[in-house]
Amino acid sequence: MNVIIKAKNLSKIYGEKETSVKALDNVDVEFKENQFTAIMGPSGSGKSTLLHCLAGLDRATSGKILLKGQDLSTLNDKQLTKIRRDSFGFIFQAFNLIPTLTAEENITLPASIAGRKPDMEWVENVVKTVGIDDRLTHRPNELSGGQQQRVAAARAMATKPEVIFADEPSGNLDSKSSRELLTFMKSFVEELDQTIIMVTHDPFAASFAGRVIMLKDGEIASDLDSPTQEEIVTEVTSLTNI
Amino acid sequence: MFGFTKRPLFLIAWKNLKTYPVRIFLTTSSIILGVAVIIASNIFSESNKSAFDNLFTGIYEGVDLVVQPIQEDFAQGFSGDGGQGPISFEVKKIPDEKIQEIQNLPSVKASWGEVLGFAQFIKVVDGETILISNGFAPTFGAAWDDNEFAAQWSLVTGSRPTNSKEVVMDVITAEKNDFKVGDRVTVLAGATPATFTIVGTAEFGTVGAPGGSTFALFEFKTAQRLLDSRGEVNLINVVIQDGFDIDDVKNDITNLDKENLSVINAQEAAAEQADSIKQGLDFFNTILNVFAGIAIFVGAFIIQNTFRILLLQRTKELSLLRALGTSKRQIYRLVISESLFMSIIGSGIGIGLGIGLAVAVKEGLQYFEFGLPDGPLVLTTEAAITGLIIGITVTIFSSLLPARKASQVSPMEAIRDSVSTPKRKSLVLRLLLGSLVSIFGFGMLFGVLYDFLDLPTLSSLQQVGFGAGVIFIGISVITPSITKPFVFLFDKIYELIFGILGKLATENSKRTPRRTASTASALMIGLTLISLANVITTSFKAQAESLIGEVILADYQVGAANVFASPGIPTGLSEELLALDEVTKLSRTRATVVGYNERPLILGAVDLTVFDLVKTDDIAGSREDFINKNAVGILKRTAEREELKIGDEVLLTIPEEGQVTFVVSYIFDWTTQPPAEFFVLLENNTFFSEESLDTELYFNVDVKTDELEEKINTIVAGYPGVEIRDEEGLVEEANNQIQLLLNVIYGFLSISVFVALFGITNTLSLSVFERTREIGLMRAIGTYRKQIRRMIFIESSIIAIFGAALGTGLGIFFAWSLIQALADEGFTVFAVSISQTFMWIGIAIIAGIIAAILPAIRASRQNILEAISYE
Ligand SMILES: Nc1ncnc2c1ncn2[C@@H]1O[C@H](COP(=O)(O)OP(=O)(O)O)[C@@H](O)[C@H]1O
Ligand SMILES: [Mg+2]
Repeated sequence: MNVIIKAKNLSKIYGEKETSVKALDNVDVEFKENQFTAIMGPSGSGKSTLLHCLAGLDRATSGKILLKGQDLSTLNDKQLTKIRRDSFGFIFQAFNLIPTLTAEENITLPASIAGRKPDMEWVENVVKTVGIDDRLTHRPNELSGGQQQRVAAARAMATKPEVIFADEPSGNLDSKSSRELLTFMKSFVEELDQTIIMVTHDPFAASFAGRVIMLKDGEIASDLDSPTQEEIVTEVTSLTNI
Repeated sequence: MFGFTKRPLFLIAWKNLKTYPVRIFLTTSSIILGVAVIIASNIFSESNKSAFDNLFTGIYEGVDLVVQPIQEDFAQGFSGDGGQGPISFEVKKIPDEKIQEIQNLPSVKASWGEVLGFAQFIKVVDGETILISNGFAPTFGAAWDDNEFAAQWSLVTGSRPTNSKEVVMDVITAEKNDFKVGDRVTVLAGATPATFTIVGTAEFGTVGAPGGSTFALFEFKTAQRLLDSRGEVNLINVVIQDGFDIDDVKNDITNLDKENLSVINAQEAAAEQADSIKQGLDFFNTILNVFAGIAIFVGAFIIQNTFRILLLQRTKELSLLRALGTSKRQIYRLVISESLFMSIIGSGIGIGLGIGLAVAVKEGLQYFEFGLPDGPLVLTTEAAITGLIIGITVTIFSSLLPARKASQVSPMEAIRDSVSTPKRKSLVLRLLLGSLVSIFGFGMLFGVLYDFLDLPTLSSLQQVGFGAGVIFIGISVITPSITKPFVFLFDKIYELIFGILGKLATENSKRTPRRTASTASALMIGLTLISLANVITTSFKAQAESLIGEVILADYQVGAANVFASPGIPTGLSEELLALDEVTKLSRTRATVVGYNERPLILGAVDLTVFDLVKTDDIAGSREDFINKNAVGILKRTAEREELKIGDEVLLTIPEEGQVTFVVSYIFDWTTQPPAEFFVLLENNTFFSEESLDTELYFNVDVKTDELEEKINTIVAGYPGVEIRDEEGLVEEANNQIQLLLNVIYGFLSISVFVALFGITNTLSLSVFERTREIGLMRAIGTYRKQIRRMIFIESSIIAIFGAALGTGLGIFFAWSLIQALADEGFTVFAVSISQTFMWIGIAIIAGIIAAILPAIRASRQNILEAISYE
């Protein structure tokens, strides 16, 4: 499998001199195509920062992000925006949807702002997969939290992106909705050949991923291949206890 | 050390303002403008009043008493001729010898006569003769006062006039037109122009020339000859001998000739003359105050809106104060103290800006040659205090409701993360209430137009105006309820043109219909008035055009270019024109003031051909009878007023002729502005036919060609001060005057549009603030900055179009109603200038987009991570 996106010597420092915080410390990491990766770690370990830098939402202090060999750190705002629109998908913890647009309009929003007609066959396929085909004309405030996140997931998928970034996508959901959402995400990777990088602090959520990366103090502490939930819990406890 | 203050909220309020200067600016912008207009209008009128006061006091400086001739009853009652052509009515004057008689009185130290009339300088530029004047200000000719006590005029350069070939020019006119001592200049005084040598320039008091007028000062005898005052003076100035009582001297002089002389105190005379002019200016002040009122009214809308917006943005801060134990009352007072501070600052700046505005208005009017007197700008303490009080009151009143709302904020808001969205109250009640009010207004308006409801205390025009006002209030109440349906109209079109951005923008304006509506309302007010003014004037223009075409049958009309400067058209012109073969028909008009029933009245004399050249309607009697020697024709409305019918005898007192009896033989309607009320045939009456001046000429030619026009123009050019116009010229002249007025009105109303812009900026700023997360999300998933900006611009255009469309619609409707109400006065044409209407809607949209620039930039610079992070 090919590497689709990778970080080289990535550092992110917040603040100046004495008060500065090193959120990422020389991180080197690669993500392969068609893989579901979970990024874990204690609060403040730099998970979100890493995700934001990879996704072109934030700029690193030093180091490179290479998307299929293209260095994102050299791009200007307009070019980065275009990459986010055409090559990335996003699922955030909350506020994923525009309240004035219907579910369907939210799903096709990235295509609409690009001025393109969405690939309707694909979109229908995705919508069916997440099971919201009967909710398309509803506005976000008429949907449950779980349904909203599924609409967000469908939006992230709609443009057939290279990578989908998810930051605690199930963080606000009850366990049933959470399980459903993660199951869909897993099926995106396994059945629809997508690549997902997900930040979570929940071992249950991480257990859906094929690979789990542990961060601590801005550095990669461990990199697990297809761990079980128990293995993840053990790793997390060992990290937090040191 | 911790400070301690007994008034913590006052301190917080002050600190808040110091920390957020932009906030002050946004909130106070409208109050600044409103106060500025009030102050400007006040300064403007006060300055003019004081300038006129100075002017007239200046005229009588050093003089104790003024001796005036007693005018015959009818001539005295006749003041001002309404600007309708020159009328040679005889004003009584005082014979020269009276000056000496008065001088001989032991109680009189000095006395000298004043000669004043109309005279106009002429300059030649590139072969074209130009009559020098400043707009509507008069052009005077006068005698140079040699008396040692005369203090009005003082020489700036050169010397005084000593013979019939010399003239002194007022220094302003000299400077403006590049005349120097030693130059030759042609002066039009009476009917014939003559050339003089400029021997000096002089200034009046210290102001150059009073009130924008021009002055030609001649040697005494020359002035008398030129200004039709041989052996006479207009009035006599008197300085009394020290130690005499002014009232005794007054009696002494009056006793010289009780029949003909009246004596008044110089200061009284000055005040009297200044007052009569100031009354005329009051009209202008009223207009300015109306505009100030409009600006303040729009301002109140916007202040209220802005307060609501700013307080909503500070929900967290306020709820934190609540959580810390601040009571609702204290929050209320906090907000009110903030508004107090802001209103003081805003009104202060407004006063400053007002001074600037006054200067601008003055310069503007000068540019359009309105010819108001020069003088320093006067800001009275009263005016400043009034501006301050209005500014403060309006601001505080507008902040009451928002303050109450802010005090209701729950202490929990501070802990919650979301930006609070206001509760949605039903708009149905509003719709009902607004509709009720509007229906009431429509009832009043249509009631009078279609005769089913006539309120007894109001004239029909007042009732229409009142109804329009009520409708306007009703519609203002309704607007939030119709925001959604209105925006719905845009939905599909905007989505088609702008795609998803159009959709997002329209959805946003629907999200807060009240806010969209109140923002649009501010713009609506301005646009209503603008389109009202636009349609009324367009209709008047169309009316004038059709009227002129209908009633002026003559190919050409000749009149005096400046009714103040020349008393008429020398008769030689009509003779020269008649000598042309191409001239087929010509009618002369002359006029004089006569007495009838102890009152002044204008008697006109015409040629019989006038009936072919000007449209007249027969009412009673016939033109055949009008030819009779002692026949008089009367206008219909005069006949009705004086209760005269065919066959009645009228006794007229004619100057220098005595009493003459005429028989009413013809009653008719003169469809244009009539030159007189009574008419006789010119050739029948020697006192007319031997006059040397015509007031108007109408004539027809066989074929209008360029050559002929050239020929006629050459002839007319030989008579300076005379102007020739064809139909197009008349229409153009009427239109120019209307357009000038319209431009002035537009200028003032633009201020209200300008004020409304701040409202749009504020509303959009809030809208952007509320959507921080939404905009961040859109940016995250790949929306360009440019697209975010475009979205805000589109949203702004919706507000602008909403306000402009409503305003334009209402304005056109109100204009239509007014014209219907004026139908009895002869207004029948209702015309809408499509181009100007769209121009203003276009201006409103562009203005809306300009107002959106700042919020749009702010939105597009939104930090993505800040907007989407959740912790
Ligand atoms: N905007 C910021 N300014 C300053 N420090 C920040 C900022 N964002 C994150 N940090 C700091 O960087 C470190 C990593 O943060 P983050 O990536 O959000 O961690 P995680 O998502 O793993 O909880 C933390 O110590 C946090 O306090
Ligand atoms: Mg995080």
